[in-house]
Amino acid sequence: MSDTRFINQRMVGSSVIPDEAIPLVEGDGRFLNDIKLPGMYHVAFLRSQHAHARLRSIDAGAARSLPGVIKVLTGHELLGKVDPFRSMPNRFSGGESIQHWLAVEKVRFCGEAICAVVAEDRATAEDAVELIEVDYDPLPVVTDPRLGERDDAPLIHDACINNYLIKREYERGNVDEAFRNADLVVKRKFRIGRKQALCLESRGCVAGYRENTFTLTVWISHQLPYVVRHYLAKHLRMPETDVRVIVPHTGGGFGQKASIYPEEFVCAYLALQLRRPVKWVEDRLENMVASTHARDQYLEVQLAADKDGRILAISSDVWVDVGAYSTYLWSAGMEPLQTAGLMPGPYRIGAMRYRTRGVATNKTPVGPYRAVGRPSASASLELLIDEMARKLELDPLQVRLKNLIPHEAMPYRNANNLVHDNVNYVPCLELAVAKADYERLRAEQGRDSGNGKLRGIGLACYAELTGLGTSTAVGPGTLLQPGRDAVTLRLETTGVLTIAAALPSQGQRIMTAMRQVACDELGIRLEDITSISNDTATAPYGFGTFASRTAVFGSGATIKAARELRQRLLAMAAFLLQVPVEQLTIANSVVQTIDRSKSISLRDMAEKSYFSAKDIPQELNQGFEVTAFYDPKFGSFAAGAHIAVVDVDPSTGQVEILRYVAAEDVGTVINPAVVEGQIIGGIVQGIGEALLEELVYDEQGQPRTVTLADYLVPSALEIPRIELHHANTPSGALGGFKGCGEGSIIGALGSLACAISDALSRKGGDIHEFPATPERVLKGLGVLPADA
Amino acid sequence: MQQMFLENFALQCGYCTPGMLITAIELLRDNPNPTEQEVREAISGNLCRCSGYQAIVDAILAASKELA
Repeated sequence: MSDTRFINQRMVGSSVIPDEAIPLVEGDGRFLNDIKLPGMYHVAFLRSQHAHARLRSIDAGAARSLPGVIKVLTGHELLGKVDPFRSMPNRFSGGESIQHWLAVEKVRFCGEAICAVVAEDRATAEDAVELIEVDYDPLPVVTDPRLGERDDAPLIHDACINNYLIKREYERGNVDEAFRNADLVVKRKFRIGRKQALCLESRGCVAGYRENTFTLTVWISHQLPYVVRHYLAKHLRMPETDVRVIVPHTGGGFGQKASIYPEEFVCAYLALQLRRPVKWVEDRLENMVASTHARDQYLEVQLAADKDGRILAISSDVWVDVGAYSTYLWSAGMEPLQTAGLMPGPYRIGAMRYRTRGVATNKTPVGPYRAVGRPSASASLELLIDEMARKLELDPLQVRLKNLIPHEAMPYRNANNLVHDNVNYVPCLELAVAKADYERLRAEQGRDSGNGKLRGIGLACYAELTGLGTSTAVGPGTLLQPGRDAVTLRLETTGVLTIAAALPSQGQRIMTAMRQVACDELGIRLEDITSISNDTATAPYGFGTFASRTAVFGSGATIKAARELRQRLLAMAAFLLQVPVEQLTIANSVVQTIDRSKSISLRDMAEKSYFSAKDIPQELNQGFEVTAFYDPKFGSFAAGAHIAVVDVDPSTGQVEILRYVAAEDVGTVINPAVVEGQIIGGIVQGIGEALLEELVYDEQGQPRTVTLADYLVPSALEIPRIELHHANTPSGALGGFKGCGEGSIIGALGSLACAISDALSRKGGDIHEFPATPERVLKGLGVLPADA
Repeated sequence: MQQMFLENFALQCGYCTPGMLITAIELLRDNPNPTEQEVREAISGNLCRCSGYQAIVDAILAASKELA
């Protein structure tokens, strides 16, 4: 069924229809919950009703005697048998948090797991959960990071003074002097609410005992199979080689499935202890409180400018409500360090200072989610730039063009110490402006539409560091420096090429991309290439899919392996055909001489190599299987410029998006249609972030948004047609690729924030809190009273 | 409809796809030539978290032409 929508000479750059999508469209997707093993038990968790409380006692007697219940596991039983999650070391750590898989002594957020019930079926397990009596002793709660850092605030972890899980101060360049000498200083506050990835498929796992040769096999809805294997082995105190991790079809990840959580580890423990397979699938209610949240930030930002609108310096204060624990693996530093550290984005900024903290609160932990930290960094700076332009009576477009890092300045080291190279900031903005017909948009804005609505136009430009290699840590201060990712290419005896990698796709069509790359490098027909992935028993080592890295790493490793395999193929063909290597090429799965007088198919060669090895000198028959690791060392900046046009109804506070134009630089594009899907999908999650999505807690730390009736995500009706354009330039990585999975969400918050602020400014209003719900818009217009 | 979803890259993770497919088929049964707005309204009860809906809308519009 393999086909191409557009035929190119090369497969890289063609919108190849992905074979890997066929089972999903034909109803044969096999997601986690489709897995059933003989004799499988089911697990349900008892979760804390309190945001912060001591556990006086747990009485599971009635639950244990319910027919069909196999076991009730408490945190005490796990003590000394498994290792809890201690916050990952980070150079900027405040204090350590220790997260037991099941709460011991204390609960720190609503939804924290306290007991696991194993039963013959899920319904019985849930009934038994209801029968467990927990005696709580409630403690004072922390629900605001700005209060939580005060000396008199209740402590969530004894070791975290002022509840700091992360704290960093940074300064570069002469910030004080820049602010002193500035013609204009602009200050703003910025608030982004708490949200979550809301994968349509929630988390879940099946843990099996002695499946095949492995003591423990875990099927898990996750982005990082090898990382899960490493930590399972470590925390269960068993050899890594006894553990197999398999990722089935996965219904969304977006970073939420890149962390290590307690529930799956509890299931693994139970399978080993009971010697039976167990399954747990998170229901939506659990998913709203037990899977990591994101954002939840308060910012105070300042910008110093000269009278021509040149940015001289920025300064920011950032408070992130990171929730009750340092998210395992990534630490609590993700949002606080990236928001503050990446604020300069694509703009030339000579001096910057920030103070940032990740403050523990009694809420669900904050973990990685699409474009960690960057949307609020970008949006708060873009709003500052707009305010500067208004005060200096300059056009927001001209001010941006003046401050973007131009080609001639590259490679350019910005105040945050990151080097920008091979990236099209100015061309992206110019393209978006031309396609949107910006001049006309401004002219139309000046005319009264007569419908009483306020028209706003927002521009946002962003820089997105993708494909991070070993020279750039995934987050500042973290010890995690992924860069050992492998791809194995194996020419099977029938002449089919298998690509194996542990780089799961949650819809990014990674394997299709690697097939396209291999096709070009090796001259093998696309239909002769298959792939295996997501299984630690069959795929070579890799970190997995996160941080817009997978296409860069997977393709780079594929290119390296393909070049070695090509050498081996040509060397053997030269012997078999008795011609010099230089005269040979590979095309359409056949090795032939340039004059086409002699040829041999890869299929024949693979067969001969395997079945007729005695006829071929050993040094020429090393086997057609090559594993290559690729480390791009440095990350590559991708870029985008987005223009949003909105109408705000001043009587209802409703925001309608009239147009959305985006121009992106995502490097050399492997599969344009797939890339466009990634970018548009990111923009739409960003629209949700800007207008709709917010997890609300009350003062007692009780979550108020635990269903999809309360937590609003965009439907097809709120979303305009996204107009997408490309201004790509190759990166310095092998193949010229950049990541494209996350960046576009950054521009959506920035462009919409600026558009809404622009609209409100026409009536003397402004907005500082997002998502821009009707209530906040009306407050911004002074129709509703502002918060105290 | 399945072919149009595939050719228009209307699925990423694929989790919402079965629901989108049956909703789309039902729509075209009632209204063989829907406008873009009608397609958006018809699928507005189905969430997709990956695609931003655009490719799904395009696939359904393409199917309406193909099946006409």
